[in-house]
Amino acid sequence: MSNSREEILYTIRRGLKGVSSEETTVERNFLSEAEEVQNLTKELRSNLKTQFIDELTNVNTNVAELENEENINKTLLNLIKRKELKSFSIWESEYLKEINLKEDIKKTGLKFIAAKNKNKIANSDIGITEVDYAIADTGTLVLLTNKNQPRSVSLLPPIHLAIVRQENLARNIKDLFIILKSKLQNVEDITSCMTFITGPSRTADIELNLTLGVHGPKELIVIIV
Amino acid sequence: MGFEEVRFEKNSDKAIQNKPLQKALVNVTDRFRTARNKASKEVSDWEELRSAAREIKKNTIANLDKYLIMLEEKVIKAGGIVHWAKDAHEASQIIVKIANDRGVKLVVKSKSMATEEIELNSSFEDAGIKVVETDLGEYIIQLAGEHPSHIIAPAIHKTKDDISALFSEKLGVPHYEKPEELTKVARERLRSEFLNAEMGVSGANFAVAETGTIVIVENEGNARLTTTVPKIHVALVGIEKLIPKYEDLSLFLSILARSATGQKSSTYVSFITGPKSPTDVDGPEEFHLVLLDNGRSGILASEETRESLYCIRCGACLNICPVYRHVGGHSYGGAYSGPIGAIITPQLMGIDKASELPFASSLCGACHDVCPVKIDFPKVLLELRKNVIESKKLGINSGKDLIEKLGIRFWRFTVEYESIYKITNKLSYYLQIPWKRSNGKLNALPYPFSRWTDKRDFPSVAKKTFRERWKEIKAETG
Amino acid sequence: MTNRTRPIKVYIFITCLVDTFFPEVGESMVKVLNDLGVEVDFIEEQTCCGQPAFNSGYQNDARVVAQRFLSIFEKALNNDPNKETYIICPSGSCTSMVKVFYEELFKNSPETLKKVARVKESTYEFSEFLVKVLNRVDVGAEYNGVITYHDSCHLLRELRVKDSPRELIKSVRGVEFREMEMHDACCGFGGTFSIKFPNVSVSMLDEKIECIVNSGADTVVSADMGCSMNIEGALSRRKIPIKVMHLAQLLASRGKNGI
Repeated sequence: MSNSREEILYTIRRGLKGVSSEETTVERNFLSEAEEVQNLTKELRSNLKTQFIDELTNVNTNVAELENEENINKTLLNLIKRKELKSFSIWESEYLKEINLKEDIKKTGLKFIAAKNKNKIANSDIGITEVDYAIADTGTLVLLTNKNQPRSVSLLPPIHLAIVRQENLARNIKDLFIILKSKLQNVEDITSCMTFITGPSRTADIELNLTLGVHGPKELIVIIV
Repeated sequence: MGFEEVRFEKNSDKAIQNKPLQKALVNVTDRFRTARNKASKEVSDWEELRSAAREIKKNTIANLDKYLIMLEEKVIKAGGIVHWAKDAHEASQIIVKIANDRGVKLVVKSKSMATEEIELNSSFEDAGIKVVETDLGEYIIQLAGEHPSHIIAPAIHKTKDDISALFSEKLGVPHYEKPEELTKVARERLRSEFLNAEMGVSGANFAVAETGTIVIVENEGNARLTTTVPKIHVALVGIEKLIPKYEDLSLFLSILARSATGQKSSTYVSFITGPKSPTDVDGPEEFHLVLLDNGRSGILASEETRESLYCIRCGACLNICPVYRHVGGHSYGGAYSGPIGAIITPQLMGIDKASELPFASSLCGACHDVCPVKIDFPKVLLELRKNVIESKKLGINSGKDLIEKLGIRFWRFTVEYESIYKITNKLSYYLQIPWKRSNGKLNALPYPFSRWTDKRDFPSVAKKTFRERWKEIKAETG
Repeated sequence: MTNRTRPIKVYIFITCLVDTFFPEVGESMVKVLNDLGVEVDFIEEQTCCGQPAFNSGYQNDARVVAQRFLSIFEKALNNDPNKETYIICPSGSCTSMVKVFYEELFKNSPETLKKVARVKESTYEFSEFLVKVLNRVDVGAEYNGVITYHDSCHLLRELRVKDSPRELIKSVRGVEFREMEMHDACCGFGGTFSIKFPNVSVSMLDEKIECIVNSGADTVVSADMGCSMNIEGALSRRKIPIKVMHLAQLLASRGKNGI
């Protein structure tokens, strides 16, 4: 196999003979750029939130806007009751731990299902996460994977509920990547999987009819606070 | 089904007779082109984005060896394994070996044009390994035993009823009316495949050299499942998919979904770097990146056609192409269709296997206008046409080729010498008389011009050509 | 008009299609230009620009023919140093052969490229010349009819000419202009494409005819005889009584429905 590697590289180099390999590299200071794009006025932040909610709605996401963080748990519990859910999975991330969400849900009698067992979590009724970032102008949630943030929680259960805090919002994808790059001091520390989520799963493969909930979650709920 | 020589005329003639297909094609191309148009207008600096994207691709390809090495290094550092495949056969062998070595019996696949190109599924089947396509459109055509007919919507040539009948026959379910019901069937069937599969195979839209990250864009969630649930993830990626820096993704992601379906963003984008981290709860334990050449390094060597490699597989060219609109994807043979198919299939398969394709275009240029990386399709097509003619000089020529060669010889003779030109015109004026109708038109002509007059009238040679009239014209108007 | 110090002289690049099959289009062009006070001349040596061979992949043959074209017209441009000389063509596709593709054809011949630069600088498609060089939109034409316009591909996408023909059409007295659906879709001509893949060509043409008919126009105008020939071929075979005119013929009209 290493034979092929050498062959391919050789063919490429030979093919590029005479082609200028010059590249204009612009040195960028991502730390200062990130500071700039995150330094938004209160008014701008409020506008961003409005824009984000509009975009979420455009991609068939159910949005609950809360004035303050106190009501997150209450809102969520009401929702669970209304939908008559029996089980749940959840991220064990810092903020969700802080608001004690997992325990509050367990108290209502719902069964907690860990992400470890794929067959079990496939039968979980709802997956609850927060987000690492969100993109306002496309209504996109940005989720990073780590030991407290498994991938399956936002993927296998038929409902995905994500809690977004205003401070997570970036204006657009360009800004987002500036922020991400600024946090990536050592390229090797990059997450094994980052996921962008814009609305529930969908397809138009059958006669271009839009159908939601093909393989990923059928329903996406965002609580924005 | 293998990829034999592409018979575009034969295939397209059949496609044009197929009324339901014609209807589906008009439907899908109208929808996507309107959506793309709207989405691109919403972005005020769309033209700058296109230029910037082309520039990045150009620089990447010009330094491809360097970036491939960088990508390999980063993927290995992240705990992945990198394989290099010089052709389709080798790529299939590598992937099947990975499966065999680990006792894999069931593979789930997300949509990947590259895996179509190398006909991976047949290789799995030959090795006794079950492979299931999980993208709904691909699942449908897998059940039907067909190739995709569109890069973004592979089963668009099938009606709801076709699909319903197909599911009934192959899956033993009742005959469903609604798309939601059909989708539900697929979701349930495929969910169990995802949970039981030992290996997931995906493609990738981009591979970032700087970080060793592959990027997969989708709407259904099947790629996420394919690359999360099974223990082994294999990604087959064409060497041209590279982009240098992490932040370059913001540009490409901004133009990809808009160009493909008119969406601001596709539903899911997965950015995968290696297998799961040691502390991750879920995710694949093994990650294999298979880099595919299969003729791409050959395209790279040709200056005039190198830009064929800039393609990000959005399908915008298919949606705007008037030829594609009337003939559909299957006419082009191979895995790729529309304008991009017309330029890369001859280059990947060899010009002798697809010599009609560079000519299967009226050179209208609409594709060039919508391509997010500004590929100059007409320019590449003209270059490929030159290559076909040059290859025909040496090879065996069919009757058709000889007639054409003689035709060009004759044409050149007439236009190089004005006197011959004038005589030919005069002769034609008299020779056309038997075919000239009362309305002044010719309604029948000998082969090859019969191919015109079968369905259209042809104008007649004027009694006095412009140059013959010139002196009079000058006198009249002067 | 910008401050012109020298009188304008135009050499007609007639194109083989117009010369042989539609000389009346050439005549109309001359008439319109003369009426605008432009001196018109015609070099009889000219034959073809080489596009049919180029598009069919016979680039060596195309080069020989193109060289001949360049010699003839470069000489013409040097004839009258005290005049502003142009080469005017009634076809978008032939014009783009000279203005866009000659550079490609001769990219390995620096000497010829100089000729190409000289010639292409002075070469214009007819409607572009009227509007952008002569700054005329109203040329005094009159025609009673409902007109729709077909954007020919090379004119639209290689030469980027979209508005000039429309402005000229709309200025013709008595004309009602109607934009058809898919006015910029290819008609299916594509030169030899029309006989290499006739069924595909006709399928594309069918859709174009449908759009023309649906527009309610009684006349369809185009600035390329290739397209016009294709469209007219179908209309005439199907006995659809819609007139097909080249833009030059429309602009030369001076009466009711006549040329």
